[in-house]
Order: sequence, then structure tokens, then C-alpha cells
Amino acid sequence: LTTFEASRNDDSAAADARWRVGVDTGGTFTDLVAIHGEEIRVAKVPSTPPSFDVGVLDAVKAAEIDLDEIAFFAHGTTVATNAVLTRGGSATALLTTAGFRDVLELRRHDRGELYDILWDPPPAVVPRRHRYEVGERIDWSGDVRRPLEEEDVRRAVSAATADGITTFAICFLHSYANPAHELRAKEIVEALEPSAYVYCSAEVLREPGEFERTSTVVLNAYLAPVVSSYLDSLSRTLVDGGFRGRLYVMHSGGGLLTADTAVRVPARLVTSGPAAGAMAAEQIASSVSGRARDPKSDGGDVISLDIGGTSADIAVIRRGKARLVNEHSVEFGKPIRLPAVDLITIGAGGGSIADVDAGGLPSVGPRSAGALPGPAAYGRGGTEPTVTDANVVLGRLLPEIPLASGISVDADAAHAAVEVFARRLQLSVEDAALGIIEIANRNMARAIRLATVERGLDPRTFVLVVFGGAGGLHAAELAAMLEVGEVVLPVAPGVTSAFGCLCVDVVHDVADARIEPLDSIDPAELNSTFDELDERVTNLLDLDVVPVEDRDLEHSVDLRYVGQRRALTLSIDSGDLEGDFVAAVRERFLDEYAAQFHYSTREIGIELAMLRVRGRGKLPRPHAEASRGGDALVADAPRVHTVATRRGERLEATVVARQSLDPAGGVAGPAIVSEYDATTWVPPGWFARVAPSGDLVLTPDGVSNPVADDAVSEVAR
Amino acid sequence: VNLRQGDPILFQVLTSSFTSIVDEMGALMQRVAFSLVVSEGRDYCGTICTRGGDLVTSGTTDLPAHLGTHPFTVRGMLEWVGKEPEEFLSPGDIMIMNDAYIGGTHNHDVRVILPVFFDGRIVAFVVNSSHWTDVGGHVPGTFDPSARSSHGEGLIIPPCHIVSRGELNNELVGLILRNVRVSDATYGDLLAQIGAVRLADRRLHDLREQYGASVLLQAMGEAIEYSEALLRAEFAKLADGTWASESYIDGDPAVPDGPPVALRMALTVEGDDVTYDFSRSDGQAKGAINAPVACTVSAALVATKAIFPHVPMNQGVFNAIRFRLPDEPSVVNAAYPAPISGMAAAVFPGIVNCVLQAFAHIVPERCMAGPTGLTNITWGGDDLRPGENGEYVCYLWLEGGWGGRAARRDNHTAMTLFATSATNQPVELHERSAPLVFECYRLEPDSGGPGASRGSNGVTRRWYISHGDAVLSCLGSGQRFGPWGFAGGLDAPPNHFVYAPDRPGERQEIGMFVTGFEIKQGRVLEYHQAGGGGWGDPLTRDPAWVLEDVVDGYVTVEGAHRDYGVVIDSSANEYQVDGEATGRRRDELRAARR
Repeated sequence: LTTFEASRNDDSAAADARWRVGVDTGGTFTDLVAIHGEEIRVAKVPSTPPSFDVGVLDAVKAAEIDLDEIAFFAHGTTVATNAVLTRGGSATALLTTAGFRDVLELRRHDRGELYDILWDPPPAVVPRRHRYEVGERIDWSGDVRRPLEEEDVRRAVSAATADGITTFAICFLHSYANPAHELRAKEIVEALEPSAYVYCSAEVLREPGEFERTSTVVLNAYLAPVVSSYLDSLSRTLVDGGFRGRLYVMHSGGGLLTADTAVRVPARLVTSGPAAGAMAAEQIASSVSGRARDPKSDGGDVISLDIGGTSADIAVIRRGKARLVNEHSVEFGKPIRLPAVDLITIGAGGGSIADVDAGGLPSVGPRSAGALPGPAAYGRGGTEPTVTDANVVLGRLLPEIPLASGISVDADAAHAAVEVFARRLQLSVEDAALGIIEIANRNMARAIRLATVERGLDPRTFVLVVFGGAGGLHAAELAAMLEVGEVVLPVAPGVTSAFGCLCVDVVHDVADARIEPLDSIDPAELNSTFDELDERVTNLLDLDVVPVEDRDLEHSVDLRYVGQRRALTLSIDSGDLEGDFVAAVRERFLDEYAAQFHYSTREIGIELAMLRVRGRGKLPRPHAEASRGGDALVADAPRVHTVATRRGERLEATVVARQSLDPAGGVAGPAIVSEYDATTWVPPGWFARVAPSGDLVLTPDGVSNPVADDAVSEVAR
Repeated sequence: VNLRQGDPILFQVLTSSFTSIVDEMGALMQRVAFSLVVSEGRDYCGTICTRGGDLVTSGTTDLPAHLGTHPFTVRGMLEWVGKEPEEFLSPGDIMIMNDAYIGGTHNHDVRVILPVFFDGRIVAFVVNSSHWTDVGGHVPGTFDPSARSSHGEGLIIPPCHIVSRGELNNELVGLILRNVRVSDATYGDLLAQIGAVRLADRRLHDLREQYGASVLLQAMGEAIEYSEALLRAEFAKLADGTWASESYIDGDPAVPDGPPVALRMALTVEGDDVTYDFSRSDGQAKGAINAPVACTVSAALVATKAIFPHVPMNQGVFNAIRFRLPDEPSVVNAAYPAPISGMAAAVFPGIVNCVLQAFAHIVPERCMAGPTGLTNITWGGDDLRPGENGEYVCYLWLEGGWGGRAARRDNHTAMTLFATSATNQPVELHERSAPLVFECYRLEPDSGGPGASRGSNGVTRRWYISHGDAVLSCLGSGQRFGPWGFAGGLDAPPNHFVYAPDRPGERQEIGMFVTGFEIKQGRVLEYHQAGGGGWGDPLTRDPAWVLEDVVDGYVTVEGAHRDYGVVIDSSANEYQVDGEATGRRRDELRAARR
């Protein structure tokens, strides 16, 4: 496997480097935010599939930053997501314990639709023909019941390679208790096929539960060739260009991994980009006010919506924190049992293609024009009508203002593309364009309801934070559909996810399973185990070159009643280990248990199950500040522009540069607020103003804090 | 004011809140329940019911087989006590019961019921039922085909206060725990159930604070009306008429080698009125295959919901259907104290089959051929592993295939009993919990019912006890009749349970009705749970699809030849269809049918 020795930090070189750079690669655009002191630069360039690293370098060039000036490079990438959704990973062979070939296919029997007879789970990542049984057996205690039949491994390798497969996942029963057979099998595979990608389940997840472990290691293997060749080539490109800093990758849990760690756990990258967006939204949530804010909390209640070219990602942030889940998947039945930000993703974005089906019903997405050819308006050969084209037809995107990536808008091409669609529906071009926007907005509204209403949350009590290149064009109308009274568009909304890459810390988690009755715990012994864990975490932070003063170690223990599988994690302060540790921890367990589970008892013994240490390398957080130089972009544009609304009606919209908006005043819709990387549509009846934070805030006209509580309380009465 | 039309968003927020409250109860059960059956197998169900016992909602992972019984539970409790609810219930009280004849399934499924008080008045009940691994009786796991009365099926608990004004009733807890095996884990599960209903109570009070009591109750009522209206609208689209269907249970456990026991249904559609008439079903059995009425109704609702999945599951689904049951006690509406512990393996799947089969005639595109049933296998003994002590009881319910469908090429689902939400217990966790070793857990080739649309494969498990001997019971059905094929599709091969299959001297057929069977340490148990029935003539299945099935091992070369008339040439390195030979073989098979 590729390593990233070349990119290892060289402290002396890093000392000269100044920039902290975040880059987020989406299906359509690659976005960059670079920060150095008070200076912020942003850039947006087209993504360059399949060689996404070219786009990353283009973004750095567009920001006019030399690679040797970069100290820190954090990257959110769509490479793994794309591979899962398009089934573009590597054909993978799975080696299982004899008798258990079908664990991957049998799953846990859960169903996406509990009752629907016609619902089917998507097919398994590894079809049955490529799942090979190997004679071996380890029991629950880790003892070998049947030695590894090495010949079976060799036979599996030759059968798989005969089918052209060079990627292997190995999951044997109870390997979390004793990984010896998995490791030996891996050796054999590697000896036979030195260039093969081979992953053992115990290297990825040390936890009982054969299906979840199998699924996780299978996805890990499936993604490995794609992710590692991508990171390898990106790293090489950066280093060749003089980069001497450290390359980090955003993982699905909203933290950073070094690139060499990421290659070992590519399954952690499947929601890398959207997680970066959610981390930016957390940062924004810390500054929202009003009803969506519980004064006692770290932040407000925010729905985060990132509308890109290909897809829209939704995260719900409550009291300033995005929800984390222990298991996630981008497709049903393919769980990855590693922590991740809870996200909903749908195929709706600026590049989503509008179509009419055989029955004459219009639809928008999930098919996308992507980066290439892109919308017709990009003039790169696209002919199918997209959401972006509809926005051009309606006059919400101005031909006079070039798009951020330097693309100028071809209004005629957009018109021609939408016209084809309009003719099939026997509509005017403008009404057809309005229809495209309406359908796309409804799709997004439905996904937001799924993330809120269907979990019993009322979107009307949330602030909608919208970003992504296409976000501003839809934000207000979406908010109207959801009856959300306040929309926030952060500074440089087109590159918010890239900004999110700079909003997080380096985090390492280590743990040690240790099952012991609470009563018989010796605090001194516990202390020494924690010391060992501290050392492991410290080593990892050393590797990341986190300065000692920026480190933070958090200790916790998992406790449960004897006979339970899982229960509570309690954080432990160093003071807890002095004094009567057992009594103090017991009381805290009982209190916390009763609070969470609504009962507790002293009649069942309590036991320790796990010691955990989380090592945090704190990285400086950027202060959002408006980027300079945007005014030039709208200088040539007319101050008013004609926009179309329903039934051929036309309105004169004010066109204004975001940077030139008076913080004391604002602009009433219809208006178009333009800035370097995004355009915001302020519909009639809406008002846009700039908040002290620099955020653009949209509210229905004449409403200062317009959460729809009147409507709610009226019915409640 | 109609909330659904007046403020549709609020209506949706509230109804979704009810569901997510129950989901939260489920998450709590998964997190803190002690038994593998509940924490991993998810054999539990939470619901919110109205003051009158009408079902408002379940969650998204709650066991459908239980949920239709909860209205019977609440009403049964109220009738049993015979008072207005406020006369015997106070805030902080929680009731417990498991009596199948007061609104239950079998005695394993213990219910806790919490009255939700708003200002001194009960406005709703929160119910949690969970399958206890053991509720006493003379065999580990309690399932007992030799029982001739419900009194032989473990402890029967009529409605009692398990918690009075917040205080656990320790005498009652002591009585219960003294009567069950693995009482420590059972105690843990009981406490988890109490925590779950309290959690839901808290959440309902939170909602009330936010939106007010009257809106909350209005949303509950309207949700029920809405489901009924939706389902009636679906019924109205169906052709009027009467369709008959039937399903067979292997037999009465009390009558060795006796005749099968029949469940019969007549489905009548008249406009938006639909009647499910089960009155011609066979009489009450002596052995434990009977069902109390709650189980029969619940099964019919679950199957109906599967055909019309967009209708939210609540009392509205009940209200849209008229039921007719036999006038005399029968296998589908047994009378106290007839034995009933096998209801989930006998009448429940039987009723599901009747409903699916009847609708398959009317809306074939929404239905499927016969799905696998359920088999209860329990065993227990002393855990003799080093460092372990005490007795253990295991409960294995087996998963199998689902039927082929007119609208799909195949079925690839392996599931437990139709439309349960129970998940499998991971092999690794099972082996940690008790002295057993699984030798295999796999899809069985050729076990899916052949058809133009193939039923999915059944599952085979082999396992043995690694330390000590054990005592096993089995209460199932489906060894005589495999899941039914439809529209020319063939039945799937039936269930099969063998002891020591590899030891000629000791090998024994265990069968579906066995009590207290002694198993020796290290002797293998081999169980095959059937696949699903096929849909459509297998001789019309595209040979290229059969080839794919052979390559993946779902169908063998022999099976392709025998059942599909497809001749696969395996002489080369690759499998190939021999087109000419296939044509001849199919002609031959067609000729043989005449």
C-alpha cells in the first residue's frame, strides 16, 4: 500500500509555511478556503473526475497560493461516496469462516420498509459467487477450535484472481477476540498476490457482531483501491509542487485523519464532504439567536442544507451539535459500524436534469449533468435542461456575472435546453423553468421534513442554514415551503464545506476492553491502564505534530449492569481516581442511568466494560469574515434586472453585491444578491440583510424574528 | 377544526412524534435489555393507545405480530378489572400482564401498561410487550407441545400493579422471578420495559407542554380516521366479490400422525366494505397450536398492511375491516384455558397466508407466493464453560425465504416470520451467551420454490452444545407443507429438523412438535427453515436467469434440470446453458404434466 512518508511534516519547512487550507471536492465543483491570519481567500473550480486531484490543484492555483506556503491542508472528498453510489468500487472477494459464506447477504433481516412486499434490499457488495469459505474456527474466548486450512485460502485466491479480482476482505468469526487466523490468511493472500488490497475485519473493528464487522470490512476493501490511488496521486501532486505540510482528510464523523491513516480505513470517508459541511454549520449554529436558541446550550437549532451541483445534504443540528450515529450507511443494508454525522443526502442540485417520463409526468433529478458536460448554460456541450438552466431562464442567474469558476453563462443554450422540456409539457419556457425549480424545491423540502418532521422535530422552530453553490437560489422559497422564518447564508456560501474542513480538531480514540465488577476495581490499577492508553494517544498526536499545549486528553469508562451488553459511558476526571473511586462512580452511574433510562436498581451488580481515552489536537478555528474583492464582479452588471414569475409576469429585481449591502439596511425582494461564489435569490415578500457576523439573513418581509409560533399556538389553543 | 386540513404540518409533526416516541422506547430496549432475544433479536413491541385502547401508533422497528394485540391488551385489562381506569390507576402506576385470554399472544410476551395522566385524567396508555426467554413450565424456554392447557405453558399473570405510585411491587416481582428460569436476565428485561414506558410517558408530557393536550388528543383521533379512510379508498378500487383461501397447520400436537388443521378464509369486497371471514376454520386443537382472538386479528392486519403499505398502521386499519370468527371456540379463537404457546408458529403464519392468498387473486401485482413460517426452538441446561455458572436458556426462531412475486424477477429476502421485525441474533453474540457452537448458518441451495419468479432460499443452521447436555423443545409447523407456490409456481421444500445427522446410530428426526428432547454434548442439531414459494411457471423462467442462480449456488445444476428444465453444461471451466438440451427438457416436462 501507498504510504505518505513524503508528506510527513518537516518542522523546519512548516515553520515558513503560512496558509491553512481547506478543500472540499464535490461531484461538480472543488471549493477552497485558505486562511492566514486575518486574510481569507476562497476559490471555486470545476471538479475533474475521474482525476479529482487535478481539480484540487486547480483550486490552489486559483487562490494564488504556492504549495510551499501551505502549512496545513484539510480535505473533504467525495471519492468514496461516489464509489459506493455508482458501484464504482473494486470487485471484491470475501473470505469467510466455513459455513458462514452468507452472513453478508443474510444481514440482520432488517427491512427498509417493514411491511412492503415489493421492497427489496439492494444486492450485497460481494455476490455469492465471490464469497469463499475457509476452514478455520475460533471460539468466543479466542481459542482455536479448528486450525486455519491454508490451502482453502490459496484456493480462494486463485478462484478470485481467475475472475480478475485483486481486492480481498477477510472476516472470520470471533476475530475480534483473536485475529490470528485473519492475519495469517492476509499474509497468504499477500504472498500470492503482492499487489492485492487485503483487509482483515479485526484491523477495522474490534467488536463482536459478525454481520456489521463483515459489512464494514467489505466496504473498506471495496473502496480501498479508489481511495488510496486518489490520495496517493493527490499527495504526490502536492509534494511535487513543493507542499511540505501535512495532508488531512475529513472523515464521516466530522474529524480529521492523516492521509496515511485514511488509506487504512477508507470506509470512514463515505460521507467526508457532507460531514465537513455539517461541521461548518455547527460553527454557524454557535452564533444563531432567537427562538432557535436555547440560552443554556452551545448553540442553536439549525437545519443545515448544502445544495451542490449533484446532490443536497441535510444535517440537523440541535443545541449547536450535529447528531452522531454509531453506524451509518449511504445505502440500505451496507452498514459501516464507525461513528458518523447523521446525514440525509438526496440527488437534487444545480446540475439535476429535468425530464418528462413516458406518462407525461415531469421530474427533476436524481440524474445530474455533473461537472461534465454540466448544465447547458455552462456552454460545455450540455444540452439537457438542468436546475441551473432554469435559474438562468428566469433571470435569477445573470449572464453578465461570470460564475465563480470562471464559467460565463450561456443564456441562449440554457433557453434552448429548457425549451425542449417546455414543449413536451406544452408550457411556455418560463413556466417550464418555474416548474423545474418548484419540483426541485419540493424534493428538497421533502428530505428536510424527513430529517425533522418525521423525527418529531418542527422545522418552524429551526433556522435554515443554506450553502453550497446552488443554495442561495433556492433558500428563501424552500423556507417558505417549510414555513421556516429565518434563513442564514454564511459568508462565501459556495465554499462552506471547505470552510468546515478548517473548523475541526484532530481526534484520536483509543479503548481497552476490561470487564470487571465495579466493587473489585483497584483505582491504582485503573490509573496505570489509563496511563498506557494516554501513551498510545500521545504517540498518535505526536505523529500529527500537534504541539503539546494544544492537546487535550479526555478519559471515560463504560459501565453496565452485569448481564447487559451496553449501557453508559461516564467521563472520568483525574480527581475521580483519588478518594473513594468505586462509591463515587457507582452513584454517578445510578443517577445517569435513571436519567437516561427512567429506572435504576441497586439489586443488580455493576461492572466496568471498557476504558476509553480521546486525544484531541486542538486546531485554530477560523473567524468568518467577508472576503474582499467581490464588488468588481458585479460592477459591470445592471443595477436592476428583469426576472420572470408565473403566467408571463415580469418583475424588475434589484441587483446588489453582497459586499456592498449596508449592514444597517438591507434589500427587499425581488432582488439578486451576488457575490464571488454564489448568487442569492430574494423573492418578492422577502428581505435580505447582513448580520454582524457577516452572514446574509433572509426573512419574510417586515418580520424581525419571524418564527411561526403564532400559527402553532393558535391551533394549540 | 380539522387539524389535518387546518395545519397539515402540525398534524404530521404530532403523528410523527408519536412514532418517534415509540422508536425511542425501542432504542432503549435494544440498549439496556439483558436478554439476547430482546436486545439483539428485537422481540418487543411498543405502542401508544388511546384511553379506550385504540391503537395510535407503533414505532418503525416494533414487532408487528404483537402490535395488533395491544388494543386487546388495554381493553382486556379494563374489562378484567371492571372499573373506570381512574378508579384503579394512579399517576406513577404501571400494570403488568401476560394472560393470552385477556388480550395477549402467548404467555412469553409479557406486557407492561402505563396510564398517561393529563390533569388527573387518563388520556392514553403506553404499552410495551417483550418476549421473555422463559416464563416457567416444565421445559427450558417454556414452549411445550405436550401441554394440554394454558396452565402447562408457564406462569399466567392477570393484570396486576407491578409499580404503584412509582414504587416497584417487590412481592409480585419476587413471585414472578421465582417462577421463571434465568431470572436475573428476566429481571433486567422487566426493568427495561418499565423504563421504556416511563420514557414514553415523559415524552408525551413534553409534547403536551409544547402543543397542548387537546391538539395532541385531536391528532391521535384524526390519525386513526385518516388510516381508515385511506384503506377504505384502496378497498373501493377492488372488484366486488368473494374469494376463498386456506392454509394448513401440520396437525394437532395432541394427535400423533393426525390430520392437518385447516384455517379457512372468505374475503368479501363490497364497495369500500371488506369482510375477513374465518368462521369455517377447524375447531379448537387439544395441543398448543391454538390462537387467542387477538393473535388472529393481529395477523390479518399485518398481512393487510403489507399489501397496502402506505396506510399508517393504527386502529383505523382495524376499523376498516369486518371480522367474522367461528361461533364456537376454534383454532383461531380459542377459549380459556386451551393451550396457545405455539400460536406464532401455527395460526399467525396461517392467517397471514390466508390473507395473502385471497388478495393474490384480486391484486396479484401487490402480492407474493407463500413466505416461510416460524419455528420456536428452545433449549437450556447448565453453563459448564470455565468461569461461567448458572443455567442458560436459548431461544432460536429461524429465518427462511419469502415468495416469488409477479412484479419481480426473484425474491432475495431471508426473513423470520412474515412481517415481523425481529432480527437475527448474531452467531458471535449467541456463542458468547451460552455454551454453543454454530457449524453453519447459510442459504440452502434449491430451497427456494421454483417459479418464473423464484422464491428466496431457505436457511440451514447446524449447531452443537460445547459444554454439557441440554434439554430441547420445538414448537413449529411447516414440516408437512412447504410454503405455497402460486400461478403455476411450485411449493418450496418444507422445514426439517434432525438430531445427530452424521451419526447413523443416533440420528433422529426431531420434528416440529417435541418436548424435553435430550441432547448430548457435541451432538449436532441441523435445522432447515423453508424458502419461499415460487410464482409463475418455472419452465417460463429465462434460462439466463437460471444460469446466474447456478453460478451463485442458489440453484444447483441438478435443480436447474429438475425444476426449471434448464440444462447447464458444467464440463468447461464455466457454466453454460445448453440451449438445445434445455428446449428438449422443457418439452419433456410439459408433456409429463398432461
